[in-house]
Amino acid sequence: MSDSPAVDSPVVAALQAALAAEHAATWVLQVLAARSAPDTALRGVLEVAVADHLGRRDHLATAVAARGAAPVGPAAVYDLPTPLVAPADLRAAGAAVETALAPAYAGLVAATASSDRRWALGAWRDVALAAVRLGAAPAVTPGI
Amino acid sequence: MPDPTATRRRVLAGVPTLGAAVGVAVGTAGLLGGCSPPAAPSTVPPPADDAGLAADRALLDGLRTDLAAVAAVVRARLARPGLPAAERRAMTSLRRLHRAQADALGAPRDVLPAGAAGVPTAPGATAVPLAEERWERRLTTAAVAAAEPRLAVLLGALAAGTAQHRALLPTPDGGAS
Repeated sequence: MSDSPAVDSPVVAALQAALAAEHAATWVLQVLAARSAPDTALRGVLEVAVADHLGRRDHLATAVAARGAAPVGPAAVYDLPTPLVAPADLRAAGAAVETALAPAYAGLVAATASSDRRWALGAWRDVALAAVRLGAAPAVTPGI
Repeated sequence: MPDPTATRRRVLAGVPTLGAAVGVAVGTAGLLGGCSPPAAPSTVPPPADDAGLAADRALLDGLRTDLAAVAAVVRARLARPGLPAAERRAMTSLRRLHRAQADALGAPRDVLPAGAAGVPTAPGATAVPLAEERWERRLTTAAVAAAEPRLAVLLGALAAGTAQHRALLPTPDGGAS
């Protein structure tokens, strides 16, 4: 994230919104990974997803701070989707989390340009692919 | 002096409803859980100027041509006799995707005839994955270059959708890539 708009700029707002979404996604996916322990394949997919979200969360927090704003923090707790019993439930919940993140990155694409926009496009692609890995059907325009 | 609003409408002709894509980030966290999203200042960036809109028109023209080319590769592959059922299903899904993308980009469907320049008449097993990979990169590059934010969002969405479909293409040994 290279340019330095004002703290209350559309770019900062979009970064903060994506960061808030990543906080929520990370929390929910960590719970899903913990509950998927008997299914090692699913747990592996979810753990990779968590690591990816942590990386993007840190990138976004750094980008917000670089613009002189205080990065939005995580909530104390998030509502979990239900039910979360069978592996199919966990997969569906994970896919829903990934799918729900795409609009945040669409907003970031709209608000940014050049290398920042390219990063946002990469993040959008990554969450779209993660959704498919967790069983989501491919879409024509995921996220919009 | 052209009317900028009318010009913008023409550039975005064929673009599906995108209002929700700009500024939708706020509230996404609510979909994921029960957290309170940050305060919601507008994330709508300024629209492109006339020069930017002209560049976007050229960008769209190029994309329509490239889409016709990649769609022709898929059509040629689909026409091959004896295609395995899994691959036939995947090619049919790609063909639907390309038609939807043509609609989104305001392009005619299936504009390149079989055997057109640059389109293999009997593409091998790797031709389609490679063409789709190039198409996804092309959409991403165009999204970065787009002057109009809503066009950037549309192209980003099309790139993400292409990536999703590409991920489900069967590999030569019959699995998903």
